[in-house]
Amino acid sequence: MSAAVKRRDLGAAVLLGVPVLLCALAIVVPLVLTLIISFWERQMIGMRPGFSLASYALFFDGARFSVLQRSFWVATSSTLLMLASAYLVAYLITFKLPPSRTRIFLFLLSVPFLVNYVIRTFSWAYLLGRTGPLNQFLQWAGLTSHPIDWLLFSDFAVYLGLVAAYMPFMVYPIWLSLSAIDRRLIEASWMLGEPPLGTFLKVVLPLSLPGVFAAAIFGFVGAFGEVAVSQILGGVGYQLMGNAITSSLDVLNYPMAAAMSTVVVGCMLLLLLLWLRFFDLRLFLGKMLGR
Amino acid sequence: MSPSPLLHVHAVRKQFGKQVTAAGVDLQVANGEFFTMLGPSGSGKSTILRMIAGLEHPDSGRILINGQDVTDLPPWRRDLGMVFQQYANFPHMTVAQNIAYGLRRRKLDREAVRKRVSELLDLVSLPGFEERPVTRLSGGEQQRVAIARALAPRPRLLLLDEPLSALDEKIRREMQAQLKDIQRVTGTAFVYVTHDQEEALTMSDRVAVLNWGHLVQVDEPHALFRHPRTKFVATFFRGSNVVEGKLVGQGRSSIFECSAFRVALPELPSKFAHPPAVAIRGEDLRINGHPSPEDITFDAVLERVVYRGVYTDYQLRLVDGQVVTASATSGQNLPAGQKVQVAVRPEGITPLQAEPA
Repeated sequence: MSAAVKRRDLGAAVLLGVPVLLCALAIVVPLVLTLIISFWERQMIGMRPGFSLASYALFFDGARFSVLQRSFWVATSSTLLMLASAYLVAYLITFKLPPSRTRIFLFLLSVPFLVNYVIRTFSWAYLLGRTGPLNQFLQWAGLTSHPIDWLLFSDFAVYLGLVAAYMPFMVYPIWLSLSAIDRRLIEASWMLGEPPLGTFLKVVLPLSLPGVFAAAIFGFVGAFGEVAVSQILGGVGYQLMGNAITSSLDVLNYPMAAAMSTVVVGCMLLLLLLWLRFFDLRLFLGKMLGR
Repeated sequence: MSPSPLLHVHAVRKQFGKQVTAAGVDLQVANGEFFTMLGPSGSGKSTILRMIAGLEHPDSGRILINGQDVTDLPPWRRDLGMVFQQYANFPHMTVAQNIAYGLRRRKLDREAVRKRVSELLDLVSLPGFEERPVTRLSGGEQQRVAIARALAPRPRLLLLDEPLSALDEKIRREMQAQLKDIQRVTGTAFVYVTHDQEEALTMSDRVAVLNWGHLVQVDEPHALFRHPRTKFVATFFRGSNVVEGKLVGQGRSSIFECSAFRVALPELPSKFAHPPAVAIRGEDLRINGHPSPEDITFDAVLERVVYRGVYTDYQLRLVDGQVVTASATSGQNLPAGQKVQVAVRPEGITPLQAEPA
């Protein structure tokens, strides 16, 4: 090998090495620390290194385990809800909007993110409250005689908050997948006698699945680890995993918080592995990078 | 042609903004016919094909298939097959699934579908390709799968939109022969769109030449090639010369006169080109030969000699400055710059009509 090639290899190694190192420091190290601490023992106001499954045992048979189940259910069902609405939006943008308007519409979807999401969530609390504009409007319109209580501090409010927080994110990957579909495939299906609904189910939907799955992960990861929406819109006692972890931290039970975090991270990894198993990730990334 | 042709496009008009892509097009295609629409890009040929398919709706006019008006029928109810330029195979399906796609609605049992698929793979010479992923095939193979897929449900008519233009030269020639064979074996009528004159001439029973949304001429390939009706058709086919001049005398047998020669035209078209012009194929012009008495002869200056392999092109300047090109099999050793005598048989001179407006 010539010296020039060696030098270039060295340059490439440095270029690649720096970001890899940064990622390792910022992501892998904390995760490993979390994993280690989850096996430590809790003391009155601190912890002691060791190898104990006490935190996991306490988590899996205590009340906190039902929080995990609840989180799982809320995340799954809200993800399905968000998928349906994000798919509809992405579909309309791709197929019903003139191409010249696509950009502006996608931009509009990102506008809410210019506002801090805690503030955004609080504004929902105001809108949905007993004396909020929505209840006032409903009473003014004569649809109800007294304020509706279930608008805020309820499952409804939490789901609405989750949809508002994560659904717009989910439009992008679905839109990417949909817009990469060659229109002639749709025409070819029509010519073969398949009406629009059949064409959607047999051609458009299967070809957009990589985007749907990417969107599902965006939504699920967000909803599963959500803290603010459940706390602000769910009200006192509405606990999701994120809330359970923060309340453990509040009472300085670090091993317990670490154990719960480890379980959550494990669930996410499992999901990602499933995705890799079923979809060629490179294919999707290739599309995002313009092949 | 039979009283009710397989396909009847009647007075079809279509306009996109200011661009007229079909200006009152009339055409008929018979059962089992290989019909080609030939034209440069923007001539409207693809739009007309898409209107036949139902993928576009004409602004006015009707489209009839077997006498049935299908103008307002959506594409999935027309029983037509279509082959696209970029194959448009379903990438998430195997070859067999692609070909069986149009059969799903036919309520065939699994065995019948399997049989039909293998029958079609034999037809397009891809036997045993059933389980291959369609994206792993070469361009030529993909297009053959697309043809098999379109033919599987036995369409009344197969529409082909420049199906070979994405393929490279060698494969394209092989596919031309194969397409013609497939058409003959299945007896399905083909409506074929191309901008490639050679493709049109070699495969078609009849060719329609299009320009600016008009059907300029519909004829059998040899008639089209030998006797173009307008200047556009004449110049579209490589090797044709257009010579302008004037008409002398009136009535059915006028005399066409240009600086180099004059010729009595036995049959005048109704709307003569303006200025009057005739077409002469390059291979009909003979240089320094032995003209027979009825031949028309004239002098010209040989300006340039272009060797093209089997043929050599001779660029000739007429007395009034018009340039024509004669083609002859190579071997005649003529130096450029000298004066030559050119001969042409009168039937090699075709009077040209005005372009349709």
